Amino acid sequence: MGQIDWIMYLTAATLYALSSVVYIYCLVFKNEGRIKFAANIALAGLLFHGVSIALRWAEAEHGPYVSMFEILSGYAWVSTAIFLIAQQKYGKIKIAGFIVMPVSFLIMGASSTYSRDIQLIPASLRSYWLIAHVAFAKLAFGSILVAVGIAALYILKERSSKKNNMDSFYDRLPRLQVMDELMYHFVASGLLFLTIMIGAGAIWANQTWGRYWGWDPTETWSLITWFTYGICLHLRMNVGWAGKRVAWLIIFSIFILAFSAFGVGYVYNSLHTGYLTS
Amino acid sequence: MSFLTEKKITAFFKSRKLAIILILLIIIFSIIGTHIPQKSQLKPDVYNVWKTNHPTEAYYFEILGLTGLFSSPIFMGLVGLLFINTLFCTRIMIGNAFRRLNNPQFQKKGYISGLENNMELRTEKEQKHVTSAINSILKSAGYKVFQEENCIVAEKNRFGVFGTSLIHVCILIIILAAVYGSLGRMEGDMRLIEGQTLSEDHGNYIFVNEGLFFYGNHQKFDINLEKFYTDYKDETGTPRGTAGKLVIKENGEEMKTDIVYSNNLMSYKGYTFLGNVYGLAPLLILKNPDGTIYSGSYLTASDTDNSGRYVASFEIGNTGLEGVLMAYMTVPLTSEITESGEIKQTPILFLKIFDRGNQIYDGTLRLNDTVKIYDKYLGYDRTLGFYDIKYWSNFYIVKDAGTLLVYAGIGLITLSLMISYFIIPKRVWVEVIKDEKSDATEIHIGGKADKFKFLYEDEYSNLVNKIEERLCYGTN
Repeated sequence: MGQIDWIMYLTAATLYALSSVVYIYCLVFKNEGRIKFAANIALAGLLFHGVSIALRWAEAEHGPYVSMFEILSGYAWVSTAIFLIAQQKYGKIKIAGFIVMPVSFLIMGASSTYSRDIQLIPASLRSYWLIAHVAFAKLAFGSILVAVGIAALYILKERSSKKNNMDSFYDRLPRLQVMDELMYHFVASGLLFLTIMIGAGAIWANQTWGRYWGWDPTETWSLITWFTYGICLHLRMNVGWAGKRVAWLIIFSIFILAFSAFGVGYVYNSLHTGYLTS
Repeated sequence: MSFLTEKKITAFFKSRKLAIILILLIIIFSIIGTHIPQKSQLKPDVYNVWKTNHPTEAYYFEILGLTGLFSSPIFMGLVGLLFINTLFCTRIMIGNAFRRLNNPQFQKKGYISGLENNMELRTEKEQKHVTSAINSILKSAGYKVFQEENCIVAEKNRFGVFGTSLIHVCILIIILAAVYGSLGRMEGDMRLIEGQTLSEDHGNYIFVNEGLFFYGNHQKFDINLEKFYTDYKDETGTPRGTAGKLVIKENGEEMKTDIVYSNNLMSYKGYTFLGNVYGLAPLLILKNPDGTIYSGSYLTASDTDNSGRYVASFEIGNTGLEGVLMAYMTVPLTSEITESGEIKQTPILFLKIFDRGNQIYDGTLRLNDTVKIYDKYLGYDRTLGFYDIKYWSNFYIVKDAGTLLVYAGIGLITLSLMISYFIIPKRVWVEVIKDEKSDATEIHIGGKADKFKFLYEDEYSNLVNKIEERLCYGTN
């Protein structure tokens, strides 16, 4: 079974790569005709990826949250799934795949550099709170990644409209105001998921280490990320920031989120290091 | 305090820009805190190793208070200011929410026509009939309708106005709970050898940290490590790693028994027990030349060496000699295989003995091995023997009354974020005017949602279509 899930995984990665190429082609050459094709390739990739995860799950007898290979693979799957659901609901933002799909593909690439050996679930990870913690971290990343895609589209559309050469490609994107609200929508969902992720993590930490908060670098960076998105929403709702400024802030903030999720374990000696680097 | 000063202070603390500045400062300090080892985060021995290896940095960081940054006055001050700022903002938000809930604002044609979603309809029907029909359509769409003469205001998801203020209330609860918990908190490490009983008392902890308001209020119940398991499997056969069976006794009476392992902590009287590290405690006995026992005890690790291995340092009776040992379980080539199929392990000690810093012995001892030690003050040999070995386990014991409140705060903040994002207040304003010239009735209708306004467009259009169908094309 181990070989089959790997073949499925590679097929999914290839389809994600292909979908990314088609999305970027559509954006660069302003070709709307192929966007649906790109989304279908992404969907096919998601299905292969889903089967790969399910097969590994059955073999390992635990979900994708123990080894770094599984964790990153899970991030890519959830991000792609959230994007495909979002583009189904808000059809006009389909082209945001030019951000989401390459990122998903890169995460798959990063995931494949780690050992694929199935690891036994350590005693400290045998907790439902951990499952909730990891699941909501992935949902938060996926939601915010979609917001980043919309933010990038917002900036492109805004730039195009400022030059007064609004072509039909950008014209068919949602109105700037609508995109602004969609960004808010996905960042707000991301903040909600981050809150649940931190809460579940705090309960798990209390069960495992005897304290809900210890200013461990990973915990501190998750709080920094929460504050960052809190500021993002605060600026939009109370200080009158909207549109381009918030779009740039959302794009910048994903680096903080990504560092918090993937980078902290490599930079700091954290309690999470063992979980987030092997 | 003059009214003006009071107003200035209020304006300062309710400033939303202040909130952003404070959060940014907290972020900056937090980043600094993740780069510099924190005393609060590390065990004293780990911190001391870092301090020994980085003396210059440690010196300056300690002077600047950066090694205890998250409990430093400057960081606590920032959190305190954020608390006050949030408190002021929350008070205003709650006030506004109640005002809006209790005083529906009726609007006239001028305001309605300025809304993004607005429409003007005309009908031949009577004004009274029109208001009644609109009233009924809005009610059937789930709106709560208020009417004042020819003006209507309809509200849906009214309690959603509390969403944002609830989020802020929860932030206040979490800060308060964390402060309350940390001030009355007690945390410590208690090292128990299998079979040993220690009282929950300050002196029995090898490391203890008591909050300002704990007042040394130890409960002094007895904690007994009845059994230690190196590889515990629960009743379902699931491997749970190391575990310790703890028995709590008060006045000799057994109060609680539980097997403590990762994700299965034991709680008693607000104390939580968690086993973290373990090791081997050999029994060393010092005997006189005639075979009588001079002294002896089980020895637990007191330190770690540079490689992180547990080392027990001890004094050998009153001989003035000191010993250092490491204990391991090994599998000799001649090991027996037990009935359960496991290979029987035997203990081995790596022992060094020092006489005022000079090493006088370096060797290994297996169970029941002895070593002769010359006591130069008495002028004869004594025998140091290794006669038994047990496991010791370190229990992290914590009492934090704020934990449940923090959990409640986290739960409530999740709920209030959901309220804020999913229960979005929506309002519709209507003014019905009789046009005296044409004898027709003009309907000015407008609506908006507090958030996700574009998602409201469809709902608004449906409402207007229904009103138009009923009043402009329908019959009386």
